[in-house]
Amino acid sequence: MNNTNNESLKDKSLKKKNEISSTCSFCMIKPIYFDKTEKSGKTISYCKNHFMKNFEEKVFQSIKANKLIKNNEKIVCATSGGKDSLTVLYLAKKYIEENKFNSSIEAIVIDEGIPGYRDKTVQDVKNFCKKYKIKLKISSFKESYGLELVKILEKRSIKKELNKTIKIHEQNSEKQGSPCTTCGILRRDLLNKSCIGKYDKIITGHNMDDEVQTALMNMLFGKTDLLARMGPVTGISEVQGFVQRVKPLYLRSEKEVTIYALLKGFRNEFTECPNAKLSFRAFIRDELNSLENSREIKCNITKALLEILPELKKNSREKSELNQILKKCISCGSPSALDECKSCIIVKEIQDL
Amino acid sequence: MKIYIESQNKKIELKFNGKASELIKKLKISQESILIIRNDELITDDEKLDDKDEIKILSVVSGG
Repeated sequence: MNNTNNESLKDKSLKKKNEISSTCSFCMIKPIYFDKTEKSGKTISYCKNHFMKNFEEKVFQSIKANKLIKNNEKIVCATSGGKDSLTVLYLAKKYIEENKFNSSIEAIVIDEGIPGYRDKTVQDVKNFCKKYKIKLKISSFKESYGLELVKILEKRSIKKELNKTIKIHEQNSEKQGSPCTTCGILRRDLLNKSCIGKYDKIITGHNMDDEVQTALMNMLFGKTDLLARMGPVTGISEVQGFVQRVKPLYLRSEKEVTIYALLKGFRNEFTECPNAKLSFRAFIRDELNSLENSREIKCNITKALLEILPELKKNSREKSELNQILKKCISCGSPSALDECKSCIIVKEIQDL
Repeated sequence: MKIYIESQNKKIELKFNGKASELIKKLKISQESILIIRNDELITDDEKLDDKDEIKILSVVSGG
């Protein structure tokens, strides 16, 4: 009985110390991170070691709960060289090894050829994969589309001006938007085409911040069909011709991922795509981060989305089956909502010039 | 105090004594988008800084 009383006094003393946040909630070492978003409302403090341990446990819980990595699967990680994709690649490999799965994990980089940016990040991925003995594939725009992104964008600008001059309206012509629109369409297409028939799943390093930004953008533009495709498992159902994509870092904030990557030595010199500042996403990201209680707001949005997603996906599936929304692209055979997929439209557009 | 702001690739010097959170507010940077390194060590924003400290403000946001 005395022992129980003594332990409870010790616990109380530790609790009181944690309220002042001068030590880790799990040991007496100085904390490097506070988590104020726990359900209990308590602030949990983490030292370096307990932060890394807790981060890994939470990612593994997400993987297990959503069946993101299973036994006997061939998995590839879409890796940009940034802190998110290197973190998720490292943890996916660790998860497979710790669970003794008969699954494989490889990495793939999509190289758009963006000068002063992609060449550096591709080297970061090469170094990482060499260190952790992970097989790496590089798929480049140059090899697959004949041109790097800068040249593709130049040609699309010329085409847009030509169309204005001769007043041609092309059916199904893609609104060009920012460079990210063209880049995103081609990257996703090349990623899918590079992986179809070779892997069961693609892992991406999307974190909670990415998902919240995407959710807000989809809501702002009224894209409920795109909203329905979100979540730790992308898409509304398995579609032949698409490799399923999963997001183990879905519930981890960008800040947490950065801290983990920093502590593990995955975080390389800060780089940002030169086109990123032009994107609407960057605007949404900065606005969100400027809000007071930003982290709590992001957690709330994620929670709300996860609550409505099952119904959204069900409705979207029914609508898709009823209207036979997905066809096959007449040029490349990929699943497409249009007769020709967006990426083939772009490729034809630039070939004409 | 010597401060390096990674996202702007900028080095500045200013006189400051106070909490890290107050420094971030003074520099008009969003707390959610950065990490604070003091003398090569990651710190929380409630840490009290000394004018002699060397501070790095690392960016948390993804590259693209």
